[in-house]
Amino acid sequence: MTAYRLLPYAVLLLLVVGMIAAAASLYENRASKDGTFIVRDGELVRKAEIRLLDPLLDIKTRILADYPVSILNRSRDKDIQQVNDLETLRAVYYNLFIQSDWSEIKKLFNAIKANKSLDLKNNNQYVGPIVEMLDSTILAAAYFYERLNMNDAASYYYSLYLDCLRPVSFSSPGSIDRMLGRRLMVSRLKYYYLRDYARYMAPEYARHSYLNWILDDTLYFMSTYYRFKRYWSIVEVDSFTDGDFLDLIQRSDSRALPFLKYERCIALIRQSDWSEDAAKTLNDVCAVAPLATKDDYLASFTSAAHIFFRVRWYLAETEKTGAPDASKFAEIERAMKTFYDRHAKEADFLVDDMKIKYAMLPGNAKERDRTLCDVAKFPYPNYDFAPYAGSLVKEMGIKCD
Amino acid sequence: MSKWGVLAAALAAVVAFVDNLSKVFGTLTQLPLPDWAVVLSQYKMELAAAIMLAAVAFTLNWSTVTTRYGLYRKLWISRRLQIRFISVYPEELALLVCFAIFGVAFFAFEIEKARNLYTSYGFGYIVNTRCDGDFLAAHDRSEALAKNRLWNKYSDVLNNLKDRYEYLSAIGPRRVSVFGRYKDELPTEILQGDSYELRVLFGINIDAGARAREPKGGLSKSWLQSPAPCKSF
Repeated sequence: MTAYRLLPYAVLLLLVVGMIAAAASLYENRASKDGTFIVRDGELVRKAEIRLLDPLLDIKTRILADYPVSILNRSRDKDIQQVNDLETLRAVYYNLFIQSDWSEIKKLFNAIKANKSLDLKNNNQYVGPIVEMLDSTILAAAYFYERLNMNDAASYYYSLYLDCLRPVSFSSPGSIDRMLGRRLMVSRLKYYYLRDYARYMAPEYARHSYLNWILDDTLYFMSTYYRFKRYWSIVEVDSFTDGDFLDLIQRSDSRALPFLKYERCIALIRQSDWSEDAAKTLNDVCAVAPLATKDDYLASFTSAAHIFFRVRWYLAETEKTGAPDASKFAEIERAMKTFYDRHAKEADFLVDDMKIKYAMLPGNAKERDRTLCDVAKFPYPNYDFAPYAGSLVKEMGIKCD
Repeated sequence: MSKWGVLAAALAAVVAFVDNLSKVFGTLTQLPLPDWAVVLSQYKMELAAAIMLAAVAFTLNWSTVTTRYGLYRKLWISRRLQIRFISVYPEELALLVCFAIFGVAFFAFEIEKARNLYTSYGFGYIVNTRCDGDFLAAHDRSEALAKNRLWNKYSDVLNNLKDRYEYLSAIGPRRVSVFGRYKDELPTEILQGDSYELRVLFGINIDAGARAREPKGGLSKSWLQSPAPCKSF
């Protein structure tokens, strides 16, 4: 009898639970306020659409989303000769980039040298935006391709980047050499690295590479970096430490060693604190054990280490004897001159600290003021040695122009 | 259960799963479906439920049901309430409240869905035509919707899309001609990327050439084999 009376309640409970569950399920599965379609990077897409990583496509999509399409539309028939200001240059460049017309892009940048309206020789205000334009497109594509292990594509875009940056570099005023020099050097090395050494490198090289660290830093400062979130985990780089890099060298294929040793040498020159220990390490790494390579591009920069070592040695001798040796100073001066002659703008970013040390050498009073002012005046604050040179200028009461 | 009930259940099942079946056989993308079919296909579950309810309604003998329930409700333990000329048990009131909650949830769900489909109807057409590389059709629909006051909320988006499609339709043939010009010079990886880009950005299916059929690794293989992402949903 009791069970008979309870049955309707069991049915009632079942119905109540079923109704509430159904209502909750309807609420859970309600249509999203954003709808089935969303606007992503200025493009109407299905919310569920997933795209594969394709750096060039993603950069083009970013341009279409950020740059006014109406301007692209208006300037799509403009040619290189019609470029007479930065905005037209940008619109023409973006149009050519979206079309992937690389030979026209090279022509565009080669024509920059002769462009009187832009007047890059006397006017450095356009160089920054032009370099940023190239960084956020071709350099970013090259680096992303490299980190996706698509080395042929990466090599092609590094070479293209160099071809575009060189004319800008050689027609720009000297005050921005460092900004361009660092890019020229890294992209040139990357091109050679991908051609000759990439196939022998251990997979963990990418995370520990000094060049990748520099590139990551360069791209991090570009204004559109936040757009490439999908690549962030792929391009991750550890802060460069000599210990990690040395471990990597010891574990690497012997065919990769010339490049690894060279890269370490550059990093040490750049990061050296000018202590006696640092000079000795540098001498061991770069100077005493010359790189077993016939490649001029690898051997040439290590000459910076020789100069570094000589300067350190010259200082120690001067301290000991109390009088500078004019003939040794002349040797250093000659080495510096040869180094700058060979590497011109590419060398500048690497040896700011060497310049200061050179300026402060005993017996170099005539060059001292000019060199210190030159380094201190550098307008880009993210370089380590400009503030140091500035403080020396103040301390010594030097008057710069 | 009568034979009509069985038939109705079968019909409801077919309606509910027809979209999935056609997807499995890969026919949906090839059928020249009108764009309103996208809207109708979103109501398949409701249609299946309506068929089932209609089958139940027509199959049941309602006078028997009423008589049986009249006997059944006497089993409620609580006291019957008399509200004007209706007598009701508290248990029945609880059940009614649950029905009301379900009804409200159902209507809210349907209203939201209808709102969503309203935009999907326009946007679905735009996305499909753009995906097929028919930028002129996508442009015209964007323009028509931008002028329609019911679409005021999206007018900025639609106007931007209009410009974008105008630009892409003009630049597309140039991009294809540049691709043809460099086809023999560029590395395989770039050709494959170009081929993917042409599909995604310009809606153009183009063969990257014999050289591109020998992928070296990385993402290349998946690039060649994946369907256009705007089609996959």
